[in-house]
Amino acid sequence: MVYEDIELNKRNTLFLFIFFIIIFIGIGYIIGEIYGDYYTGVLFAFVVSVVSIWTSYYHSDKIVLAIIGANKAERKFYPQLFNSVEGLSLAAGFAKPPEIYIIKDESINALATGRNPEHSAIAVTEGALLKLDKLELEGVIAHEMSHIKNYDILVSSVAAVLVGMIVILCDFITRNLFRTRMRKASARYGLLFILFVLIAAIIAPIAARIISFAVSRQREYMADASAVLLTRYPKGLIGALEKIKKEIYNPDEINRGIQHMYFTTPSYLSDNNLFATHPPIESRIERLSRMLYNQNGQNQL
Amino acid sequence: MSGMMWLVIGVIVFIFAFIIIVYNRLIVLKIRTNEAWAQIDVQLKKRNDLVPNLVETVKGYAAHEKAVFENVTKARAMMQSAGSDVGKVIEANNLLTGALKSLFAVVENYPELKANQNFLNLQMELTGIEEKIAYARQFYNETVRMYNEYQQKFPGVLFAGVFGHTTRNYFEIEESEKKAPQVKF
Repeated sequence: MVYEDIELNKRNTLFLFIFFIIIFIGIGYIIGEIYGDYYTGVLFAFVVSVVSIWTSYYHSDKIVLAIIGANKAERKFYPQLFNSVEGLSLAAGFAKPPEIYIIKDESINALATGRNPEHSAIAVTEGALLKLDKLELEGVIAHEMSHIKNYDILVSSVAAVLVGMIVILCDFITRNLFRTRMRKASARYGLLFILFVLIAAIIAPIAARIISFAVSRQREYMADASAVLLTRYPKGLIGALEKIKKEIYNPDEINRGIQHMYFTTPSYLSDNNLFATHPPIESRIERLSRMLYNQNGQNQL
Repeated sequence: MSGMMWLVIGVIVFIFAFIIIVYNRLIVLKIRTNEAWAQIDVQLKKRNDLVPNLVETVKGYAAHEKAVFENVTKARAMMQSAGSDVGKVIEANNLLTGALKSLFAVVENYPELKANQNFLNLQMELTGIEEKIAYARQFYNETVRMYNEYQQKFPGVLFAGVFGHTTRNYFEIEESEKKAPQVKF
């Protein structure tokens, strides 16, 4: 049920906040120790983490949209897109449709962000608008709409911003502190402490990344299934996935910090890879085809 | 005897809590169907506002097709007078959809009209609204299904009548009208 999913996502967001505070205070403690005053380090880390959490909750959508360089779409240039989004938002029962953004990118992709259906946005690439027909585009939009409805967007947006913060901070530790202060600190605390710093610098970003994996994979199948409930037309989404499968990707185009938010990731990253944020396209198509089969009692593909 | 008393109090509290939960659930479902209906209503009104403009534009080219215009105007008037009566609105909607369809069929005979930019814009707008009505209808029917089911199943069936809840009508359209009026170019 959708309502249980919403509760689960809200709880996961809370866990994410707590996890973030703990990691941040840990890092603050390390930095404080190195500079000889752990109390200030912890206090500073606490304040910074509370501010970051507030920012990630209320402004992650704007941050994510800025990172991917999405621009707000104008109705007069994209009347069809507005129509589809508004129609599907009616089908999903939202009080108001999500805001619409355009990503300057030739590949077919889309993402949704925000904190709840009332504060949400859908961004679509120019490639998707160009290469997909209306029904395929509606399939993709319905998929993103499901992420909004299930509050997947809350967890993934918050994760994107907080994970980004942790990565920046760990970079800071490795770059600045290793060289200048390490010798002094190791003289005082010994090898064990150096190991601790190393763990902070290496494990933290990985752990943070693993959260965003956990957010994704199963959710993608869910969103595909709910999308079909909205459009009542599995073939649209299948068609879009088929077209994406045939695309040639430029690996540099997707920012790794937010790749878990996209509609798909390049296939070389997603195919049976432990660290993939999305299930392979083939198995998504397969599950949708099965739905089509059940819907019609016979295979139409 | 005091053990017995506590048991009675416990049962009474339990029953009250149970009734409150059912009551709230019914209210939530009712509000949700009302909101879903409001979304359809918005789109139906938008379409109704579009109709006079459309009729005027078509009249400019095909003034003598009086029967068609009369049907559209009648259906539109019926829609306006239907107010919030779901049954009447559904009936008027089906009538208007049918009337518009015959209007667009007439348009087929007037190539200059089909090339009129004003007409094309109106037609595109109308198609968009028809699509939105279809989507809003889908959501409305889903909420109605949940509301009606809850009223008919245990425990809702015990209290639905007492608290003044009645089952709602689905927004059904005639089979032949399931597709929005489409005009080939």
